[in-house]
Amino acid sequence: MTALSHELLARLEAASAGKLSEEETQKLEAELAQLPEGVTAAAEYRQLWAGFAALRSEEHRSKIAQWDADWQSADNQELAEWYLENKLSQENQNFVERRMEQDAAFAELIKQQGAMQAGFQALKDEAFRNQMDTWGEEETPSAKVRTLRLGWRRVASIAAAVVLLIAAGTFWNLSNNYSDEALAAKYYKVPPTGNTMGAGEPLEEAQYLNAFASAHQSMQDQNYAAARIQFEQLGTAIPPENFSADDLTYYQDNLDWNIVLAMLGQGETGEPLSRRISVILSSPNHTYYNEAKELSEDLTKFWR
Amino acid sequence: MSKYARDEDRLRELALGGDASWRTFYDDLRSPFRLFFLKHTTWSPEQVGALYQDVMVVLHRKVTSGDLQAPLRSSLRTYLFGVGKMLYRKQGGSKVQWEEEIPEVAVPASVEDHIAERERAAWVRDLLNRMDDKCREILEMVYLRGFSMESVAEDLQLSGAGSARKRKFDCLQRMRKLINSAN
Repeated sequence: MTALSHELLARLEAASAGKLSEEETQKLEAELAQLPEGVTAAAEYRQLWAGFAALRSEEHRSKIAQWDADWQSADNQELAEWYLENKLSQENQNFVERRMEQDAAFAELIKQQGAMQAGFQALKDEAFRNQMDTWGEEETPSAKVRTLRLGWRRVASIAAAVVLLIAAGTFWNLSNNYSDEALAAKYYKVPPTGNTMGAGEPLEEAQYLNAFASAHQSMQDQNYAAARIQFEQLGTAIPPENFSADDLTYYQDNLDWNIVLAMLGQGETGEPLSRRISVILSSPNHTYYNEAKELSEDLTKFWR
Repeated sequence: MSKYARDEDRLRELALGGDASWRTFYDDLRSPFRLFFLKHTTWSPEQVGALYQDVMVVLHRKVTSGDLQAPLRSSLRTYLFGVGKMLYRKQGGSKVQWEEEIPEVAVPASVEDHIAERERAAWVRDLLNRMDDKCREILEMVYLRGFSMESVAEDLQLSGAGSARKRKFDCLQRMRKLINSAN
């Protein structure tokens, strides 16, 4: 059996991975052809590498199957939601209807989901109505970025006074200020949603922006459970076609960050939250990279 | 700065092959992908679910092999839809008027053929099981977990990347001997 030198093997592997130029590959093939059984040996190594790639893919496929299983319960709910919002192709709208006829539990799920969505819509309308009232009260039409820190600061100053009076209160104060809800409020910022709603924008964009504003209203109301659902729904929605790449980044980053805050507000501080934060931290260009870093540090404070 | 800088950061993270990054990516894009194909095609939710799994395997292969690298010409999400579009066509999906931005992404022929791919995987798994522990460990690190030679050297306490590379090729040669001894 012909043994190929390591140098030749390294080039063969690079060629198999498509990392050699055409000229280099031809030179390599010529060298292999001159070796006794060189071509056969090369073919066997290529088979091995293809086998490794296949094995790696198969192992990844098994993991995906496990991840997929975790989604099974959510799949029907999601399908129901899309059906009710008429987002599916006609064939799939019909598919859902046929399934409702055959599956009573699924039909019940659609019914419940319909009632829930109607409730959310009412809430959204209410929030939008309130927002319109606020626009009427503002002297200037420009949107403001205001933060929830006003309330937070008030709480903090009261806490500071307590600290002066009672030293023992220090730990209590710290642990409260770093509670999940306090951190969610501390890092939350109201985006300038008002000025993005123009009269001439397409319906699809208006719906998206309304949903975005409504999700933020839930955050401001500290209704974190509703906010999380709303932000996650927005995350699964296909953004309006007329959004530019900058718009997409702006909204996607905002959704990423606010899902983190809503989870925190709900007191969900386990692995799902860490995963969400680490996704932001893995991208230094993420709009909320610095906030995520600070939050990560806050979450590890010993007095929490 | 690239138009897709954030996606490129994410791509680099995925290229490292960590399960947590892939899991988050899988979770993040599952619903948009399902909705897109349930909206634009006639395929049922079950078929679209299976398509998403295939698409993820193709993407994993492309990213871990270095076939897909920065700079990106579309977002990862659009790219993923492009892989889905190609597989949908190849798996006999009916004609669809795709949005213009959805790219034509080449799908490796080997990944498409599940049966052949599974056989290839089983064959290498069998060969690996017949190797000694040391060789199996280094080959798994390099080819299945995507370790760099530097990381292999560090993990196995070898003198450096060169030494790890030499050992890898020695082990590959031994593996090739196993093929020949079986024939």
